Amino acid sequence: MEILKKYPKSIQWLFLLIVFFTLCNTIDIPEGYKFIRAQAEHIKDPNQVAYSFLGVEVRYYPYDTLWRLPPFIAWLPIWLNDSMDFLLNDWIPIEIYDAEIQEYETRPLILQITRIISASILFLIQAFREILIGGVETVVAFTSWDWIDANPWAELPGLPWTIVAAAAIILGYKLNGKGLAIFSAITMIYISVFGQWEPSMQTLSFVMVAAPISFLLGMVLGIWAYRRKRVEAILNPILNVMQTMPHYAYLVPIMVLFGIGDHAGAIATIIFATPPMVRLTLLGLRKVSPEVIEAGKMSGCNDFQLLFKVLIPTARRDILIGVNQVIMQCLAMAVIASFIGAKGLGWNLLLALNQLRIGLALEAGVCISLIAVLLDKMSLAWANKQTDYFANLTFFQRNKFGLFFVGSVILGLILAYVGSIMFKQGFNYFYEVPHNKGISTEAFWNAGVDWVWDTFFHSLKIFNTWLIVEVLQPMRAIYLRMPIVATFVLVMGAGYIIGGIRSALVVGGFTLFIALSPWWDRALVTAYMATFGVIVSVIIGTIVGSLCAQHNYSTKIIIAICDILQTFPSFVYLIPVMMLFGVTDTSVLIAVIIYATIPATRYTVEGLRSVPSALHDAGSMSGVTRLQRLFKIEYPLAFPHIMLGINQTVVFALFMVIIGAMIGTEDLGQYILKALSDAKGGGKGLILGLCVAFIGLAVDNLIRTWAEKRKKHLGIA
Amino acid sequence: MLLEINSKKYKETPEGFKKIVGLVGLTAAIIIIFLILDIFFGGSDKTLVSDKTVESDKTIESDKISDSVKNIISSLPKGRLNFFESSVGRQLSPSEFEAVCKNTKIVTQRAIMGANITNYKAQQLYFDNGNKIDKYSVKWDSSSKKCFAEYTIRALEGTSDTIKVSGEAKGFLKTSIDTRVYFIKNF
Repeated sequence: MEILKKYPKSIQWLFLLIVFFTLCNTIDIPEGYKFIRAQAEHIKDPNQVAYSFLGVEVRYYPYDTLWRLPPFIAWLPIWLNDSMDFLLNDWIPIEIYDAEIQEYETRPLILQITRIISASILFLIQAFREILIGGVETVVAFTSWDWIDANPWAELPGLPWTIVAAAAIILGYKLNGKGLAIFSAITMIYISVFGQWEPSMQTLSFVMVAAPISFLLGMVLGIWAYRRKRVEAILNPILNVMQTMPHYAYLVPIMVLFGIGDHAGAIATIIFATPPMVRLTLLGLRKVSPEVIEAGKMSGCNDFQLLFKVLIPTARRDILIGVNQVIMQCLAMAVIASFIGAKGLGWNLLLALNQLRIGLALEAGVCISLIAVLLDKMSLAWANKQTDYFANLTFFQRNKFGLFFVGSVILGLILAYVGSIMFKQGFNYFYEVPHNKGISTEAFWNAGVDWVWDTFFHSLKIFNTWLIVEVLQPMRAIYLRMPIVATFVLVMGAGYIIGGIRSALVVGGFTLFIALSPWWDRALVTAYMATFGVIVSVIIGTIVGSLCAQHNYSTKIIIAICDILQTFPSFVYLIPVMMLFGVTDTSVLIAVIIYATIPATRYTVEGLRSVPSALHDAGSMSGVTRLQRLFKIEYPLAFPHIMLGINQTVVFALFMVIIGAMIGTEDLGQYILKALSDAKGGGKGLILGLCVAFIGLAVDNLIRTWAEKRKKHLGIA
Repeated sequence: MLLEINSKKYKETPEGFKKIVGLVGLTAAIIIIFLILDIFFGGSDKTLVSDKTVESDKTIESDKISDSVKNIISSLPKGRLNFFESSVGRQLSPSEFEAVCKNTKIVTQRAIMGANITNYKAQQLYFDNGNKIDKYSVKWDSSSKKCFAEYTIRALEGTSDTIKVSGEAKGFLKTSIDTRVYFIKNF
């Protein structure tokens, strides 16, 4: 009893581990059990058991339920798919007038709605694209092909690259001075000189449509949630799931509903980018002090005026940070959306990776990263910029940037005209450097890859083999060897110790969903890969973060590096690792580690730096050494914050594991990728996405609950 | 009275003890629930084994054949390109080439795009229809001892003009799940 009083938590963990390992050792693998196989099979076999639910027949191989649960929700993806099929093809047929064939035809309501949405979004993308790089389809939309044939002058010529570059430089200067202007210039010149102008503008047009829609949608939902508690209560779990769902999972149902192409990619991007906007709008509005609201009301504001004249302007910074997040999410999706036909840099990058042309992929990757960093810096500068409403400025001072832009348009047009005379025989490089006609470093990088392979082949192979044989395979085997009852005991027991019965039930619910799906083994493989990535990332991140947090200068540098690395779209991380390790599981894991180390490092630095200096002084006065201060004062106080970093690390690792499926892993991601090429994969993709999200949410629940309790315990909540 | 005494006793019990009792209860509840589930839904391993013994000789023989092919395919390096008659990637022997061809069903987008390059009309239709293809197949031609892949590019909506592209399947990529055609040579 005394030991129990003294070490209650340790005894509880010890008991839990004893039960867990006892269960693992007593429950044997059933004879004939094949690992990594979807339980519900479509083939008929006399050894299978079948059940029917909601008209869907499911066949599966029955095993001891202590080992694996039957796939009782295997009907769900098929049912979802059939439902989507029914909604799209049969539900509420309506008469629609088709102007092309000049006849009425019957079309289901949902199909008509999805077609209208698709056409509207496609029109917007096309319009932006043609303003940037030229084309005829926007004009044709308002006239006809015959008209444009008769009036070829009406074709949109597209803006010369010099004008767009000048606009970016002027905007950069206006928002944040010389530094950002120089960076804008470097980005634009790189894009143009490397012949990436057209795909870059295609990507930009895609972002220019998806980002404002996400912004509006997110802001409306955020305001609604702010005004109605019930809406917030409903939105919260939905946003949690949406933010932990892997990018791929959005694509499959979108593809079923909207087909493939730029519009489908944009819709997937809008859905993916909206949650952070909702959250930041809500956060910003919540932060408005009651005094400000009271002042607004006392001035006689009605609800509408209070919202638009008081609340939103006061929450401006958080809302603009939301815009920054939306833009970042849109660029992160630019590559992934290319899986369903979105054109642009992402498509080129994907194609280059598919062809194993690492040099080409690197050029496109650098291009996306530069655009991402530029837009990130610009939107952050916009968010932080304060307007001086009382400044007494002359006409020129007020409008100088507009005037500079007009000047640059004129100059750009003159240059384009001069270019058309100078480069009469070939391409007008002052107008646009065509794709594949710019400078290319592909051969250099490809030679680099060959050199790496030739020089380090044996060392890399030894490392690869060691990692796979000695570390990864045993770890994978341990995860797969876990009987389901032992997993439940471990997961729910951990939930109970950390957060009580409520936490145990929440975590158990998430695990049960995955256990009843046909993909339990694959979920275990996903969990093992993410665990490996998280362990290594946390070790590296904590060490690097702890070292950098010791000095102000190194802190600034590491935070700046983390800022830049976090703006890179996740796909870009695959390029350097593929250069070194080829298309292997090791590549995926190393990409996971690099990607997931960023939040681990950032949160360690922020956690350690947030320890009050008074405590440092108190420690120094007590005569502690630097190491003692770190381990006895700083780490315990920073630990809740570091744990939140680990939480982020888990989500990042899960995302990267799923993206890694593109270069071949055996986890849930591989099935999500397969669902993309399956005509009936909509429901499957969605449920697989939910499985991944639930792994993330279960870990999130445990870590958040623990961190909150610890903060309360330390009195820093 | 008894209730009051019990509640007083419960309040006096240390939190750590209450927590461990709760944990034991939760663990026991999970195990019992799984045992009950096993009674209703648990499968019998013996049934599985006995059912397997009545499989016909033909099936067993076909399994043997597929096993040998499976062995060849499993010996291929995962994630690296495998070629026949090429200096790039890993080289396939004639028997491996045949086995891989016969067991490859998936034609990758990369192979499709590569094969389109030499056929302008096919490339145009492929882009216009939103990158849609219909049927595709991979076949082993025993007379020429070559592997051929073909696919049909879907017609535009409202038309029926499909284009069939075929060529020699030269490169294969083994993933964790299957083997895919990676290069189709059609010139």
